Amino acid sequence: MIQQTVTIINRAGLHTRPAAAIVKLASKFDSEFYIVKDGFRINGKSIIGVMTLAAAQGTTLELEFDGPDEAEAMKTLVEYFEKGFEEMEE
Amino acid sequence: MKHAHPSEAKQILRFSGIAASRGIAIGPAYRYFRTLLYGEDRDLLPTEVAYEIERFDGAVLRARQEIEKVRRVAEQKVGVSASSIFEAQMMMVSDEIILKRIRKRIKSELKPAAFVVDTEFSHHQHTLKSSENMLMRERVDDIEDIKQRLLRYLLDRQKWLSRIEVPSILVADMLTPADAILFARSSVLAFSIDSGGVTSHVAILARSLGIPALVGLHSAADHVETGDMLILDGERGELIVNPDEETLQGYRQEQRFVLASGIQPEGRILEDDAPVVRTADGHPLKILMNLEFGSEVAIQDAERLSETTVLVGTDKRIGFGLVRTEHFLLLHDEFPSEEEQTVLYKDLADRFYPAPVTLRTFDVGGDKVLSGSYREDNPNLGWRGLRISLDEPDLFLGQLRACLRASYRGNVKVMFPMVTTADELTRALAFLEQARNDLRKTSDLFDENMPVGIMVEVPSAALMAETFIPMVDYFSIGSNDLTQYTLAVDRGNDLISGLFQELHPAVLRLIQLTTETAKRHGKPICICGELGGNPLATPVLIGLGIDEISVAPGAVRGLATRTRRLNYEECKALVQRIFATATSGEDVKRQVLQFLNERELIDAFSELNLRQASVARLMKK
Repeated sequence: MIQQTVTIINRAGLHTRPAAAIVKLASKFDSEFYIVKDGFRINGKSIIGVMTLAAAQGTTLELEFDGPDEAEAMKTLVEYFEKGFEEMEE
Repeated sequence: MKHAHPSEAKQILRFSGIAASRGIAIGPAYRYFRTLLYGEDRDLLPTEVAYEIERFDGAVLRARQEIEKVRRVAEQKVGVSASSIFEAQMMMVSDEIILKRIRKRIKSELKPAAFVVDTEFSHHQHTLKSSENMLMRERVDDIEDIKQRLLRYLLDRQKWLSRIEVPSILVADMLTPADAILFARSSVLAFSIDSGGVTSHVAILARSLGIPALVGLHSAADHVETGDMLILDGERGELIVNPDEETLQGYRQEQRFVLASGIQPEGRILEDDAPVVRTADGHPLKILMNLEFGSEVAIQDAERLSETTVLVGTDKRIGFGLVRTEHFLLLHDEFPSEEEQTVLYKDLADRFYPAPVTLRTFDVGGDKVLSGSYREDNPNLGWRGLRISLDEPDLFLGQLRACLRASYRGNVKVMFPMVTTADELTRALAFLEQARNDLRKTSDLFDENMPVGIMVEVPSAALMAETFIPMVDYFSIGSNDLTQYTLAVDRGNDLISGLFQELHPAVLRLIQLTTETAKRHGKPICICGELGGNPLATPVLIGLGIDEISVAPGAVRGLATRTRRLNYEECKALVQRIFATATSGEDVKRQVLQFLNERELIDAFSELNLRQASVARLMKK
């Protein structure tokens, strides 16, 4: 299992649209994907789970990946978080 | 406004909420109750488990089908961007992680599906509710919607009623996005919702639908009964229950200046509101209506307005500058056949004769034509409008023949949406010629000179206006899309809606270029987007030399009244000053306000927009 810490940087936080995008991205990989926030751990392939995190701007999350393509999955997901869910103002 | 002296039997009540969608509505209340369903706890026999899981899977399937149906309606009504709310709902009801857990719990805990669904979803709602983030808290309602949907199938409850017979203001403590869309199909004047904020999905949809809405009213719904007279002020964020006559009069006056759709025009309107109104110095402006919805109610509203404005001694009536033919789709949920279209368009043209009826060919997204699950990454830049028509010759030819047949009395015009290149227009015109030939063969009556125009709503069309103008009889500017494509802003996107500035100098320059080109060729130029109903835009559009403005029926009076108080030469000077100095949409607004202020027109023109600015600020948060 590998893991990495990410921070929510976009203003609106992890709302419905990015939650849906995260689930879609994660579902492309065979590896299991969990998101941990304040000890609360949810399955990253569940949109309701991801929404339930209610992660606002500035929140720090732990991303966990476990499976055959974990490295690639982590790279893809971390990148999406670092881009602020493609919602950063220029 | 403080004249709340108690009048007759019923007491005046005022509630403050958040203005989530602009406009003022006056009408009776329709109190909408939605009983929340719960899943009762009981123990299953092990033999019941398989059946219970089967029922659960059936409920999930039906929920998916219904959400898909609502999504399609929403896409037609509010566009792809706002309808993505339903895509997220679809993902929620297809969330295998949750669904698996529910099946597992039914089996291991020996509990009925309804109980497990209730507890499982409530658990997630509870977690969200404790969030300090407003945006997140509002998602509780979305989960509630999914939960209630599943419970309804599991408990075999009736379908929710989502129709109103009399035009009314819907009052509820909560409304799901699906409810909002379904109610918008009947005669709802406005939404008054106790829960939610400006970023709630209902608020977003109300704005997209152009229906005034208040949210965050706390417990107002408890004090309202069906039939109570209401004023819903989507400008100040106020709901007035049982207003007195004085308050009502004040608001009726004010409605003139507010673009509020769905408000029934009543009584005879002023003589000056006739098709051609003139500025104080005599410059003419032709006023037309947009037919937003294909429903009989909408057509009758427009008809009443049109008839009450017949000028004494002439037969001039207000016609349509834009009929969105794709809205006839909604009533059937599929493309009407050529015969059905002929009946619909002919009926419209006959009822409004001799006023012009401008039929815009179908402007829909690709999913209406493509069956299955094809989704575009970027539908606004994708297969839509004329692009689809050109790729679907049978559909397009059928529609053109129907338009032509309706033109037999000479009052129909046709217009193509989303024209981007001259090649597209050449091909569209070839189809039109083919349609004419078909009708000549069958000896159908039609207007050989039926005027043909294009919507100028893509910047390329504005920039290439000189190429397009010889090919058509008129231009019509679609300001909503033109703004969206010029500023690269999706106005349905709450995060950036503040950047949607329809008075931005870049947009105005494209309008100017289009207008001057049309005028140089002696052809009429119309504007049929929301800009036409924006009070601050009136002096700018008149100054630019626009010939015709087409607005929602409810906005006709306001536009006519404003026009009469302006001076064309002064408006021209204003436009020149704007082009010389303005750097942003806000800057243009300021200059217009100053212009109106100097002429003591500020109250009539700008008051509401100033208040709107505070709404916009709220929305940004």
